[in-house]
Parts: sequence; C-alpha cells; structure tokens
Amino acid sequence: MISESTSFVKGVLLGGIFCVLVTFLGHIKTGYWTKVRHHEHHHIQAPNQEDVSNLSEVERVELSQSIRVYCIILVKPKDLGHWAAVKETWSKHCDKAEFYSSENVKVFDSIALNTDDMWAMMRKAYKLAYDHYKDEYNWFFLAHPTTFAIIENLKYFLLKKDSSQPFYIGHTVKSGDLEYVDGEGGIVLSIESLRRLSKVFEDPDKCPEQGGMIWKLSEDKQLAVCLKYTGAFAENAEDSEGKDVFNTKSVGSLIKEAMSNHPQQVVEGCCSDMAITFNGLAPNHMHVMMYGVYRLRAYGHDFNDALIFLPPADSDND
Amino acid sequence: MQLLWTALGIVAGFTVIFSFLPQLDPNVLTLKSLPVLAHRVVHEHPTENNTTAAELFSKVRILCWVMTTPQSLETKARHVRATWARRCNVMLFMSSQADAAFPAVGLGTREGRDQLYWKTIRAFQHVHQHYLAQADWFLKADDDTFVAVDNLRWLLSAHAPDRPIYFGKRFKPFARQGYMSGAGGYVLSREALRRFVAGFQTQVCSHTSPVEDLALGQCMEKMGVEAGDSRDATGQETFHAFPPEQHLRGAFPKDPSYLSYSYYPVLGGPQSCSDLTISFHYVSPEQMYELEYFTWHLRAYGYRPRRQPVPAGQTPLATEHRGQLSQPTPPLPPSTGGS
Repeated sequence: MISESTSFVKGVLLGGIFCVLVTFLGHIKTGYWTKVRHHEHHHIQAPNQEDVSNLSEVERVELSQSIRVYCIILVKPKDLGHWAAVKETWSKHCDKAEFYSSENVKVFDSIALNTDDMWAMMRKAYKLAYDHYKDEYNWFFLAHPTTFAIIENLKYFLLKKDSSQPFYIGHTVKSGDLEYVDGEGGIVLSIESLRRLSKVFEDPDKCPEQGGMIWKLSEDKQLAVCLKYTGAFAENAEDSEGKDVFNTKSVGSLIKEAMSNHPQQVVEGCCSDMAITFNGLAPNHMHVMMYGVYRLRAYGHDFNDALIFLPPADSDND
Repeated sequence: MQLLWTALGIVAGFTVIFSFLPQLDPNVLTLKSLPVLAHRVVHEHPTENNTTAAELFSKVRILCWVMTTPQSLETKARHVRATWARRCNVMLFMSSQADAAFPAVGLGTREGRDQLYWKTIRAFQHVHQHYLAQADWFLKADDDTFVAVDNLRWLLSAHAPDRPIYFGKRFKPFARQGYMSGAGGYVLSREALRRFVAGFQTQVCSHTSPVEDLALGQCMEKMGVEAGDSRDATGQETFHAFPPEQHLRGAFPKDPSYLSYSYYPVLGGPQSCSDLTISFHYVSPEQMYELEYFTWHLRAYGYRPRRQPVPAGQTPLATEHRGQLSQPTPPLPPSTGGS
C-alpha cells in the first residue's frame, strides 16, 4: 500500500511538473498575441525604440524629411461626403495628396480617370503617379475615401525601410495561394515596387487590363497578382507587440469586438497605439478622429520621439 | 504494480495542473490581478515620460464620485470603472443602494430624475464625512460622462484648494454668476465642499429643487463659492455637455437652448474643444473606450501639437487676454537645440 501510494505521489509530481514545463515553453516560443492569431503571412514590424533612440537631433530632422509620402485617394461622385472629409482631415498630412476620380466632378479638383472600374482606376492612378512623381516621393499610399490614415505613424513605420527595395505593405489577407493587401486598410508601395508595377502593366499576359482570366478578381487581389510577378510580395504590418497597424475596420467596430471578446482589457487589446489606418468611418467620424489623433491628449505625458513633424499650414483642426 | 500507480499519478498530476494553469498564466495573471481601482498612474509605453503626470497625481489629488443607479451599474458605470476612473486618486460610485461587489455606496435615497439633487447632497455629505483629508478637489460626474483626469489636474494646478471655487461647463441663467452643468461634470475645491456641507447644516441651503446642477449652483452662490472659468488660454472650453461629434460638427438640434444657456460665447468647429478637454457627456460605453484610446493611447508619432498649453501651475491668462489666438508652435531651431 505504502509503496503504491508513494509511486502515485511521485507520478503526480512528475505529471504536474511536466505540464508546467510544456506550457511555459510554449508561451516563451509563441508569445501571447501571436498565439491568438493563427496565420502564416510575411510579417513586417515597426522599428523598436532601441533602433531609434541613438539618433542625434540632426539625424532625426533629416530622417523625418527624407520619408516622402504621396497619397492617392480613389473616389467616385457618390463618395462626395467622404471625399470632402478626407480633403479636410488626414490628407493634409501627406507630403502630397491627390484625388483620382472616375469622372470629373465640379465641386472638387481631381484627376479624372474616365472609368469607374476599380481595377482600371487603380492601374491608371498608379501609372500617372509613377510617371509624374517618381523622382519626388519614395513611398506611395493608396486609400479609399472611407479610410482615415495617420501619415506620421506611417512614416515612423517606414523609418528604417529602404524604399529602393520592393515593399508592398498593408493589412494582408490570404486567399488560396495568393496573399494580398486588403485595399480597405490602405496600400503602401515603395518607389521600387511602383517602378516594377509600371513595367508589368505593359505585359498583358501577367497583368491584363481586364482583370482576372476566368472570373473577375477584386482590384486589390489583381494588384497582388501583378506585383507577385515582379517579385514584390505582400507583407502584413504590425507594431512591436504584434498588433496590426493597418485596420480594415473603424475604431468603434474594433472596440465593440474587444468589448465582447476580452471585456477586461478592451483598449489594451483593441488597437495599436501606432495605428496607421482605420476604415469604414462616416465623414463626421473623420473629424472626431482628427481631433482625437492630433489634438486631444492627456497632459503630463511626454514622448522622446525619433522623428519630428510640424502641423501643416492653412489648417486649424490639427 | 508500482509502475501502474506511477503512471496513474502522472496522468492525474498533469490533468490537475493543466486545469489550474490558466490561473497561473503570466498574461492572465496580469489581467486578473490588475486592481480595478488602481490608484497609481501606470507607466504604459516604453518611450513615454510620465514624470509630469505622476507629479501632478500627488500634488493635485482628485476624488471622483460617479452618479449611478442599481440598474446602470453593469450597463454604464462599469465602463467608467474600466477606463478613466482608475486615474482618480479616490474613486466612488454613488447609487441609491449599496453594492459591495462593484463597489457602490448606498445613499439611502430613491431613484428617478426628481431624486438627483437629494443624491447629490447625500453624496457630497458622505464624501465630506469620510474623505475630506484624502483629496484636494471633488469631482461629480455621471456614468455617461468621460473625464480626462490628467487634464483636470492641469486646470486645477493653478488654483489653491482652500479657495472657495468650483469649475465645470458654465451656464448663465437663473444665478447671478451662473452655474455648472451637471451633465458635463463639475469639480469643487475642498473649501467649496466644506461650504456646501455647512450650508445644509446651517440651513442656508436646502433642497430647493430637483434640478441638481441649478440648485447646487444657487447654494454655491449663497455660500460665497466662485464659479470659475474653465476655458483654456485661447478661450476654448474644456468641460462639455455633449459628445465630441456634436461640438466639433456644431450640431445642437436637440437642444437649441444650449446656445442661449452657455455663459461664454459658443465656438463651433475645431474651436469648440480645447486640446486639453476635460469632459464629454452622453458618451456610450463603446465611446468611453474610444475616448480612452484617443486620450491616453493613440497618437501621431513625432507630431508637435499646434497649440501648446500654459504649463501646469501657472496662473491662467488674465481675462483681457482671452480671445487672442495662442502662440503658434515655434519653428524648429536649425540642427541644434533641445528635443
């Protein structure tokens, strides 16, 4: 009896220790957040504080000015309300922002593309942007008018990335074999990717104007197909904690999800502090976001940032 | 035979520990053990310097009490408890009935709009009796009010708590010096709280009406408590009676009287809200978290704000200077100079 219970107790101890070991090893390897997300994309991360804290003041100013972002916003006449909101809010923080519309609209300046097919619009806009601006900007950000973007956070994200490499970044989705950037979260191309894209546009086999061969692919998938031929692959953008920085949903939607999925840690679990985009915002919400991002803050919290960005001229809502 | 027992033991040990492990999981442990009413300012971000906020936390002690009901504890008050409430020096929830688990103080009143002033009187009496020494300023808010507590400390840092003064969204009718909107939250200095309670003891003040904010304002006036100007140096309001969208987009269709009640001229668009806003009202639970995210988390990296506030502790601009635009952010010194 005694020797049997001794064996049992030894067994219990062994089993318990074994379990603890296995679980903690598992945590160390995968971490908390990536355990929750089961995916196999390419990941690309924002710089860590260690990467940037060694820069001198001069280097910081130079760096801030060296990241030049050109913003393409694809619009149609039905988007007038959102178009106005984008014009009055975040697009003022791009180095240059232009609206590419399906057709000429009297109310606003835009570059008329004379087509309302989204893939055709995207092709034409990218081609025009490359032809006109290839020597002036090193990063090209494409968005829909329902998207809100924080360009400063985009620039911080791109801080140590070489734009002469083929970067194609955003919120990625896997569809069969194809990994593509979801257009709703915004699409970032380096100048090198845009250069390669311009070339492959001329190849009707690899990158046809009409879209997919058998059935019509959405324009963001089509873009991924074309870029893939050139050797540019979609990468999902994350902050140093592994949270997405390009979001295809609004803050409100993400908060609601967090309230039901992890109600004890809603804000901490919802969204990145360095978020770059949110989508699905009504025009009035864009104005609230503008206030929330650039103005509303808690007094007494200071930051030692590696980059320096000044408020744009002729603006008062930031 | 012994081997069998050992094997059984291993299985039993593994299973028992496995079922208990989630509670030992370091991540979950942090979540559950984070005290709901943490009184410290948490150092949240690696590049962030909280020194000023932490200094103000000990210099400008604020007791926050939230007006709530037994029915709205779990639907509204708990989101306040999960967000801005944690940043007060003392946090209390005031309901008609006590709730030990939440926790909420029972005021011994009934519920209903006509009970609001009774609840307010009892709540301030309770706070005066039990917490007078623990705080310098005493804030009342609703369970659908969002309060940026750090900005409240900034505003109050320039005033002595032994001065009889109170701040909030100021309305002008019905009282000579006006009164503070209950909805947008108002904050009393320690001396103002003393005088409010004394007023009821001496019967200079009484339950004159169920309209809590107006009645309180009239008592304040009788007791010689000054209605303070809570606007920032550029004349932009910090306390708000509505959610941000209505102020920023200038729509008050449901309350046209708002424009005529307002003590100071109502500014529309971006001018309607200070960068250092203190409160918004009619905030839904979801928006409570959204505002928490905007205030303490989401930011534009490296961005130098257009408007720099007067530093904490400095006297606000004299009245004759209000209305002038603030100094624009000075241009960067070329290649040298401070961070």
